[in-house]
Amino acid sequence: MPRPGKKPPRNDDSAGPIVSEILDVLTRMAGMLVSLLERTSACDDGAIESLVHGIIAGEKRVDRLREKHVQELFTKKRFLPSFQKADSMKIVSLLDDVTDRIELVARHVDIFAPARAKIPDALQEGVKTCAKLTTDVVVALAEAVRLVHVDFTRAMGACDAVQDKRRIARDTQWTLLKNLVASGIDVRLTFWLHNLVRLVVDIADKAEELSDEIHGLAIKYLVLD
Amino acid sequence: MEPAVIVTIVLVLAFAFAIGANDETVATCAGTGGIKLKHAVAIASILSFTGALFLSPNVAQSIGTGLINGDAIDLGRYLPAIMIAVLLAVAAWLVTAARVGAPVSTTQSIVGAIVGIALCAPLLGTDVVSAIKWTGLGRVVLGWLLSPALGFVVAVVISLAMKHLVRRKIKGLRGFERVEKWFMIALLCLVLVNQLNRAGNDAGNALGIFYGLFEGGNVDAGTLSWLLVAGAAMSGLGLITIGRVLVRKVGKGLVEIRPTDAFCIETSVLVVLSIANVLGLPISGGHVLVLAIIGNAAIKHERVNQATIKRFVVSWIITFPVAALASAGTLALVLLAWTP
Repeated sequence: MPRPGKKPPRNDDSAGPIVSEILDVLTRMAGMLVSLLERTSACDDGAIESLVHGIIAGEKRVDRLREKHVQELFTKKRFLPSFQKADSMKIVSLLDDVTDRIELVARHVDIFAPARAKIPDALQEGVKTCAKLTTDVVVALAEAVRLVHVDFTRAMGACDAVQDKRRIARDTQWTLLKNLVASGIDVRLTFWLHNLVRLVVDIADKAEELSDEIHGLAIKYLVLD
Repeated sequence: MEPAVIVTIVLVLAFAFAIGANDETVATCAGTGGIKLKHAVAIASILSFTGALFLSPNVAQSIGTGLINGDAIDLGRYLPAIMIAVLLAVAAWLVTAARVGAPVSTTQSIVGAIVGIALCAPLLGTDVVSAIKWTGLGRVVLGWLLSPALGFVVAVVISLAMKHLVRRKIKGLRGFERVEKWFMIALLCLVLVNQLNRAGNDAGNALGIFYGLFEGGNVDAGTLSWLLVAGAAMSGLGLITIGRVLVRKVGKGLVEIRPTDAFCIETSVLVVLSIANVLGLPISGGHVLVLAIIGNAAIKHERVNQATIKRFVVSWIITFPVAALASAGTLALVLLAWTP
C-alpha cells in the first residue's frame, strides 16, 4: 500500500488519465445501450428515460474530456512530435464519434417515444443480440485503444478482434432486418425498428473505423522505430 | 579617442550583432516544439549574452594571421583599413544570410574576407600569391570539407545507437511520450551548454578586437568593460531580432524533429566540435548541425526538405566568394578615400 501523501506508482498499463476516463465512460455507455434496448423491448418507460439521460450525460462528459485532451496536447505536451499529437487527437475524436453514435440511438428511442410499441417477441431476441454484439465491439475497441498506448503489437491483435466482432454484428443485423420485413408488423413500427437496428450497427461500424486507424498507426510506429 | 578607434568599435559591435544573428544553436530545441520559438530565442539570447561576456577568451584574437602573410604586407600601415574592410564585409554578409534564413559560417566568411584582402595585394604593395599563407588556407578548407562529413557520420552513428538502444524498446504511445519527455529535458541541458560555449567562442572573434584595442592602449580598462558588455548585448540582440528567422528555418524547415532526434543531433555537433577543437580545425557549427540533421533523417528514412537544403548549400558555396569580393571592394574604396 502506498504511504499517504506519496505519489502513486506510475501505471504503465494505462492509456493515460484522460483517455482512460473516456474509455470508462464509453464502456459504461455501451452497457447502458444494452439495458436501454432491453427496457425498450419491455416498454419500461421509467427505466428508458433514466438510461437515455445517462447516455446523453456520458456523451457530454466525453466531449469535455476531448477538449481537455486537445488542450493538454498543445500546452503540457508540446514536446510531442506533431504527427503523434495528430494521431492522439484522431483517436480521441473517433472515440467521441462512437459515443455520438450511441447517443443517436438513445435520442432515437427518446424522440420516437410516441411511435414505440411493444416489440414482437419474435424480434426481441434479435434486437437484444444485436445490441449485445455491438457492445462487444465497443468493449473490444476500448481494449484496442488502451493497448495502442502500451503495446503496438498487442493492439493490432485487439483490432483484429474488433473487426471479427463487427462482422458478426453486421450478419446479425441482416438476419434481424430480414425477419423484421417478414414479420408483417405495423409499418410505423417497422420503420422505427429498422432505423433503430441500423443506428445500433452504425456504432459497430464507427468502432471498426477507429480500429482500422489504430491498426494503421500501430504499424506506422513499429516501422518508424 | 581617435576617429579610427571609434569606427573600429562601431564595426566590432555590428560584427557582434551579426554573429548573434547567425547563431542557430537552439534550432533543434525550437524544432521539436518542446518550447515555443519565441521562448527558445529569448533563452538563447540571454545565454548568448552570458556566454559572450564570461566565456569569450580574454585575449586579442588575431583574425586571419594564419592566412595573411605578414612578411609580404605591411600590417602596421594597412591594418586599420584591412580591419574595416573585413568587419564590414563579414557583418553585412552574416546579417544578410541570417535575414534570408541561411546558416552560413562565420569562420568561412572571415576567411573569405581575408582572401579578398589578399586579392587587393597590388594596392597593398605586394602580389596575390605572396599575400596568402597557402598552407594555412589549405588547412581551413580541409576543415570545411571534413566538418559536414563528420557531422553526418557521427549523427548517423548516434542515431543508430538511439534507435537500437532506446526507441526499439518503446512499445506503445505512452512509452513513446515518456521517452520523448525525458529526452526533452536532457536536450535543454545540452543546448544550454552548447549555446554558452558557442556564444563564447564565436563572440570571441569580435570581443577579442576590444582586447586588442586595450592592449594597444587605445581604450582604458573601464571602457573595455563597457565595450565587452555592449558587445555581448549586441550578440544577444542579433539573435533575438534576426537570428529567430534562422532558428525557425533550420529547426522547422528541414524535417520534423523529435526530442530524441534533437538530442542525437546536438550530441553529434558537440562531438564534432570537440574533435575539431582538439585538431585545431576552424569549422562551422552551422554546417555540422545541418548535416547532423540530414544524417539523423537518413536513419529514420525521412526525406528532408529539398528546397531548404538547396538554399543552404547555395549559401555555403557563395559565402566564400561573396565575403572575398565584399572585403576586396570595401578595402579598395577605403584605400581610395584614405591613404595610410
